[in-house]
Amino acid sequence: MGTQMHKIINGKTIEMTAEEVSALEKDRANVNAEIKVLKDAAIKKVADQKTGNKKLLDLGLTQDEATALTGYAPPEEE
Amino acid sequence: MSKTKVDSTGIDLTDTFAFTGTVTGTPQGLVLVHSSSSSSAASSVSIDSVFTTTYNLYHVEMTFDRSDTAGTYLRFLKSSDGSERTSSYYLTAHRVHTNDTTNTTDNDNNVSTFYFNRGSGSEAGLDTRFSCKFLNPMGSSVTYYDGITYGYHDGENAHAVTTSVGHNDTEEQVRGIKFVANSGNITAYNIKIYGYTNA
Repeated sequence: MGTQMHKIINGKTIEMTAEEVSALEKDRANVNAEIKVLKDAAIKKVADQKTGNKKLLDLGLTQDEATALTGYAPPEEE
Repeated sequence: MSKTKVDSTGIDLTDTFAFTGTVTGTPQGLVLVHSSSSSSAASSVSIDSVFTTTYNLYHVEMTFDRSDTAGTYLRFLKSSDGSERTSSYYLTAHRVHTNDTTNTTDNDNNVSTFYFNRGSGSEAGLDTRFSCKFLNPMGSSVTYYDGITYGYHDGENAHAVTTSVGHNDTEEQVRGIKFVANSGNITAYNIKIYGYTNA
């Protein structure tokens, strides 16, 4: 019994070897880890923009002044 | 008897002709260089030995289905040995959903794939459409990419368009592409690849 996992090359379906399945799973894990780093960085950037903006407003700046300084404009629902 | 001169009054083609020859000369526009489809589930779909030095610019038209909501990524196949290029991809992506005005941007700097699609498993009766171009795959410098993906994004409960543009920074020839499901399978696909003449 084979791996029951397949790849397609130029339209031809081929069952993967155990080594190929192992390499695929390792590659998927690496890609997911890579994506997570990028996602986490993007989430942190948004959070930092929001808290930084609030600190500027707390100092007495208007939102227009804060946006002029940083380029950050809060979403309309905020 | 071959005819080498056509009178100014033209040719009457109302009869039925059994054409068996080959048209020679310089083709114009897009030339189909690959066509394949499958409804067999597979973790990856490779189109190998499709890029040649004949064309500098290629157009890809593809529809596909996925078995789950994970992403789909794309890699080049090296001309030297057919193995995957697993580094030096640079990609900017912008996603907009049909149900709201939320814009999502992704910036992939020196990563291992062109990660061009996120989530389309329950595609709500709609295949995911992927259309892209590759510039200079068999040249001696870098290969450029720009693509558009349109499909259903389960996490957003809406259809989404993702526009992505990037390049691979490795100066090498690439002869093919490989689509990989980040989990599960690509359950069906249909792809056509064209070369641009005079690009």
